[in-house]
Amino acid sequence: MIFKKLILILLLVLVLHTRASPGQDAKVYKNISMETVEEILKGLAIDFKKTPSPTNKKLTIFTFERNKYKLALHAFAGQDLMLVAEFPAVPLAYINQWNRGAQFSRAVLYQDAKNDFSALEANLDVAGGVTDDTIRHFIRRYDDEIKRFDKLLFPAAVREEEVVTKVPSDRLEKILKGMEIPFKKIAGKEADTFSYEFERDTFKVRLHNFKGEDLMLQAAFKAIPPTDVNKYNFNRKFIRVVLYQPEKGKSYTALETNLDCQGGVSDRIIRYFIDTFDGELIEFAKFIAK
Amino acid sequence: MRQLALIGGLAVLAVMLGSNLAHGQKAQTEKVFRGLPSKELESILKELDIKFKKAPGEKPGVFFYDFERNQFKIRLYNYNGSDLWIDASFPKLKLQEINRWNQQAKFSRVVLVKDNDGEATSLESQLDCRGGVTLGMVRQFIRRFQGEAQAFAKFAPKKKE
Repeated sequence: MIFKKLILILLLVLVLHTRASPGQDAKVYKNISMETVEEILKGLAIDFKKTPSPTNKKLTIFTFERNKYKLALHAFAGQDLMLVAEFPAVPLAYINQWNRGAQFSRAVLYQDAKNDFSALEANLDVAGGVTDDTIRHFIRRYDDEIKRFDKLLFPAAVREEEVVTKVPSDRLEKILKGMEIPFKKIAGKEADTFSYEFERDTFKVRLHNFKGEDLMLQAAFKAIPPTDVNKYNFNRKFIRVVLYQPEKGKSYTALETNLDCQGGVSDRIIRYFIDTFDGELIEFAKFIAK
Repeated sequence: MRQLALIGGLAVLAVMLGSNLAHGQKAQTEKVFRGLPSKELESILKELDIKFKKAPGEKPGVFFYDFERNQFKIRLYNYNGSDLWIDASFPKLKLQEINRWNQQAKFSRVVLVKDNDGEATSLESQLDCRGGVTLGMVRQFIRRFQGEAQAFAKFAPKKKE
């Protein structure tokens, strides 16, 4: 009887000891490998694209969509992580308002000859020691930050801008050059209609300018069944997926989006139109790869 | 002499007008909204003489506006000011027919959807406001869709009652 009681007490002590120090066996990183980052992202069901930075050998960038926001996770030499999401540029007053109240992120306005956007950034210093849970928490907390930031910026972000109801070729070409997009210009069959071929992150894109009245972005992918075409259109906004089966040549699927300029557009609206298509290309490529 | 002056004046006017037309519309400064508040959207609907019925969507900050235009029942959604969605329902079409419309469409798309009565074809268009919209873009978006609905009604067998 006493022996049984002793065993029970011993078991109880063992259980309590294990519960008292749940983190005892958690691995602590002071330098995190890209493989570990990838495992953590996969564990969070995050479908990412990994790209080494073209300008910094120590920087690896993971891009993904989360709760409909396009995020980038920057990993600097395994020693610190930074989450970034871009938003359209807003007045500094809003940026400052956010920074005054924020604890776990900062807003930054990037506005110069080449850039015109706001960013929400959050950093995690790995060098002091972090666990997998720390990183997961860092990402999940950023989810909340980004929603609050978006809500803050939205209501009163109004700017006076130069607006045109027709976008002539020279204006569009100036925008493309400003975005550092090298292009090949091709005259269309109709008068005053031009196409611009360029590459965006390995995707071949065509931007059509129909007499300055409307723009269309288009990229071709392998042909997919009509049911998949419909499924994608059902689940996504702002784009149109179309199956083309030419009489001569291979069938293909086109990802398309249009901007009606006749109501009046600014250069910033056109840049946003071109920029956001990048994300659509990535998402569609993932869809057809499955 | 007066006649000559008049002819000269008209000639100058013609040259100026031609110059403007050749270069397209001149740029002017307008408000660009990053996100479209309900108040602005409702002003535009009233301006377009659209009598609407407003109701909240399933999620907070989402509202939809039901109205009729040229006998089409149209629904316009405003998702927290960040994007607009406009649609009209038509009878079910085969996917091949849907794709045929989408091949030639610019300002809309057609999607096969499930509704209360089974399957239907949704003619729809979305406007992303997050990068900025002018009120003119919103007016154009609504007017354009009416044109798309008329064109699609001719393309499709008959409209849904």
